[in-house]
Amino acid sequence: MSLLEINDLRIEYVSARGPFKAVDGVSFTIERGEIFGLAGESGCGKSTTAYGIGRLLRGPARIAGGSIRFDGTELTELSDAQFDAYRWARISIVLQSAMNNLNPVMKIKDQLIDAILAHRKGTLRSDALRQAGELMELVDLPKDRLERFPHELSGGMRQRVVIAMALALRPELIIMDEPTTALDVITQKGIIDKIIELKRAFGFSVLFITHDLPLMLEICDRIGVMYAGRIAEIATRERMLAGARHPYTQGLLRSFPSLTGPRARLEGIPGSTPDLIAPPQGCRFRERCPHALPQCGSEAPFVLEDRDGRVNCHLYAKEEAFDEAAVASP
Amino acid sequence: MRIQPSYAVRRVAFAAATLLAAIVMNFLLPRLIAGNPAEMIASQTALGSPEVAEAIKKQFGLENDSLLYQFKQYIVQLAHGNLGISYFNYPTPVSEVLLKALPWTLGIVLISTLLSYAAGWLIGIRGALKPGTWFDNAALGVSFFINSVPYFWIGILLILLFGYKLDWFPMGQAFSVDYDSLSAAGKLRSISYHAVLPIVSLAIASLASHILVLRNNLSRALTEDYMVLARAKGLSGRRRTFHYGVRNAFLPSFTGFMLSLGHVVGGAITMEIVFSYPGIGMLTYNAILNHDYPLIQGAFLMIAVSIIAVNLLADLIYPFIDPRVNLN
Amino acid sequence: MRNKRTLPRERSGKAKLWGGACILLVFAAVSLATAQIAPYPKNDMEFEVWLKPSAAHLLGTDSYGQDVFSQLVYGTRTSFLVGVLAGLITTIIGVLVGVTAGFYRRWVSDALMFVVDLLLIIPVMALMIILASFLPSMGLTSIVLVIGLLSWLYMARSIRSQTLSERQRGYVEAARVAGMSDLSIMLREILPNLYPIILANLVSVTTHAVLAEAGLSFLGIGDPKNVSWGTILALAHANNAIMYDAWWWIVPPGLATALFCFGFILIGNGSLERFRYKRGASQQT
Repeated sequence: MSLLEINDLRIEYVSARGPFKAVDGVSFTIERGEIFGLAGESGCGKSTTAYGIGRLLRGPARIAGGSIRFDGTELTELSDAQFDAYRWARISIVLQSAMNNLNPVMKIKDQLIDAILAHRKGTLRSDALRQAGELMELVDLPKDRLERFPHELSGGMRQRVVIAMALALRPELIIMDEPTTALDVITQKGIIDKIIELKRAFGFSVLFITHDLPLMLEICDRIGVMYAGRIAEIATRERMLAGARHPYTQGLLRSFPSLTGPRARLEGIPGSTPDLIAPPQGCRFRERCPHALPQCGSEAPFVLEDRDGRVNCHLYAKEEAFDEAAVASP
Repeated sequence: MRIQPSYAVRRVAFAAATLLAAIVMNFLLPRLIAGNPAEMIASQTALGSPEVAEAIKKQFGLENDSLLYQFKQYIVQLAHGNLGISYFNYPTPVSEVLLKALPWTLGIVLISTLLSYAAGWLIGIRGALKPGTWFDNAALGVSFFINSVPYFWIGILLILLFGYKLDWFPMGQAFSVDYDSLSAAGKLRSISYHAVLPIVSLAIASLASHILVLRNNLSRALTEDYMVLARAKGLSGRRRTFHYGVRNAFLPSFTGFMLSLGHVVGGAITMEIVFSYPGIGMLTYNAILNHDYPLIQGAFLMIAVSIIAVNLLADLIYPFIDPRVNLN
Repeated sequence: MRNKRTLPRERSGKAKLWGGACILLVFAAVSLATAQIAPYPKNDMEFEVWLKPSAAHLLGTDSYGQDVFSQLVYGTRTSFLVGVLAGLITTIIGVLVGVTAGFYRRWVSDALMFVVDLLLIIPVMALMIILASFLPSMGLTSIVLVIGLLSWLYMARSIRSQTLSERQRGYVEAARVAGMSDLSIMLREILPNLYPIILANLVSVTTHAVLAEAGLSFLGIGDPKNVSWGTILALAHANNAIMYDAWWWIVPPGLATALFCFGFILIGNGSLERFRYKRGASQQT
């Protein structure tokens, strides 16, 4: 049984013009000990999905349907009090580093232990502090930083603290939303290496969200690509590196410069994302897709599932009837 | 290291400089009111004779018209704790006049300030936590209304309703007419009884801005990322609200609170007039109308000192509640 | 598993803007057409005293035999003018000082703030009284000036803090590099971003100006010939209106002030909402 099973998840924002369908029928699974990446451009719904899973949606956003099964339990059916037991102890979260992740008026040590004290009732404060020290060691931070306040730490250190914090109760799933985006490349590599090391040691799964596809290809076992509130493609890292299947993913991969090889002009994807209050019929990527077929404008995309993953695209409707090579070239 | 010594020194130096400037300003200000004070006193005390006027002039250092000389006299007297003698209440010294009025002002203004802030904060917090509820909307509506009417109008209304119509409280004064004949307990009761309406009016009048400020700040703090993280941790609502929300939202309110405390000594002029309450506010008002220089100077100086002192205290305390501040 | 909180409606600020504008237009109209709207001339004292409200006297009469409603109408002009003019003066000075103090570092900023802090120490009301008794004649212009010149302090501080934080943003550096002059940067880059806070302060100082005028008039300072809502209350208080249970003399001026200020608040909040709506609030995706 997978650790996390998302099925036809739908999340919408209430707006004056009608519901904004930020997440419209998203399905994927995350296995134990796996790093699963959710990629896509800004506004595609990846963060909303993550927040939805963690029951952290704010204000006008609400889950409109679908299922979230965690270790066999249907999360959407739990009451707030029941879900609180899952918070941090089984599912924790690491947010984007540039933001105000840490409470400015509390010392680091207090922020590390408050989750411990909240969930493991009866823990002595001294015991919790000892655990905090261990957590700092895990992320290679000196223990004296415990007495400091967030503004006294550098960005990289703060992010390590947040990761240590996320591990406090040894959760099974850690959701990481753009954890390294605001850091410089060197710090970023340090953090990524540390995450992989910790995952190996503790065996948790990671839902890794970023728009940085190349980064994702380095760290994730499987990657899901979202576009306009839907999944376009899910593939293993190997499959992606060999050549993605969905035209959108191909476009994405082409927009990132390669470190080696001949100098080439960067290609973007022309056009812009559709309006999610009144989304177009059929495939949402149709307007910008260089390989669009007539049925893309009316029928929902064909779903191909195989060993390598899943593709939602009409191009794969009759596998033997097209030329994969033709699709892979621009 | 929460307070760097350099920070403390700078704040103290600033306070001292402000005090000095305040003293100079205090000296000059009453003299803006036209008229020769000596003649005024002479005529006011109905003495008439030029010798007496001369004597008074000498006493007040007014024999020499030079401002610099008068200022020197003023500073020397100040150093001795002598605030001069009130023109209008001659021969009562200014310090005595001020000290008689001070407790009344401290009483009603201090208590109403504390009440107002406490109530305002609680209402503001509740409003920010549950926005859009009837409570929040009612609190906001009432706040906007109160902020749109003159302070003293609220006082007058309260007197009309509770003093006249319902006859629950006296309609003015600090104590009843038969005060001197009362026992100690009776005196206390009389004072408390007379203090209720002024305190309530003042508290209500200033309540609105406190509600609004804290509510806005807390609403903003609640959208910060660390709040999301706090919720993700499954921390109790109370812990989140207080340690993550209020402690951050409170910071700007603290400065405002200390500022208000500093202004307590100045009293509330219009409110004191409405209630005929013998506080510093009323004293200052009458002093200005009577061109009573020493009293005006004394009152302003007292107000300035208290504001500067409280501000300094606030500056020194602030680093302890907001760890981000320690230098600039 | 629904979201229990009430979902906020999309706010474009239009309703508030229109509501506030209507209220203020009504007041402006009353200010202009006082003679036409007021049933009786300003200082007509020929009526019976202490009359309760009736058809002939919508708000009754006061202790001098004047019609209260007419007084209220005539007072509208004073309050409107003083509020708007003093509010404008305060805003202009406040913005000038605030932006300058926030933009230029070190000694300019420190010097300006020192002066501001110093002036803040004097109780504003008392200062107004002093200045008022200093001026030879207390016409409307004097009152406007007195209030306008003394109320800018808090606003300057508030705008200064905002300018300070704007100054740190990238676009200021970018403008510098592009060679824009200091004045240009302040006017064309920073100022538009200060719009929300200037607006909030503008509403605040205008309402304070109206209230300050009421306070000054209540204290007997100001043009004795002029009628304002404050003078009505002053007379009411002086003539023991409470003892006569003359609520019609006491309550209306306060309500008028409340309605008037409410109009400003509506416009202020409406403009803010419209500004944010146009700029677009960010949502989590």
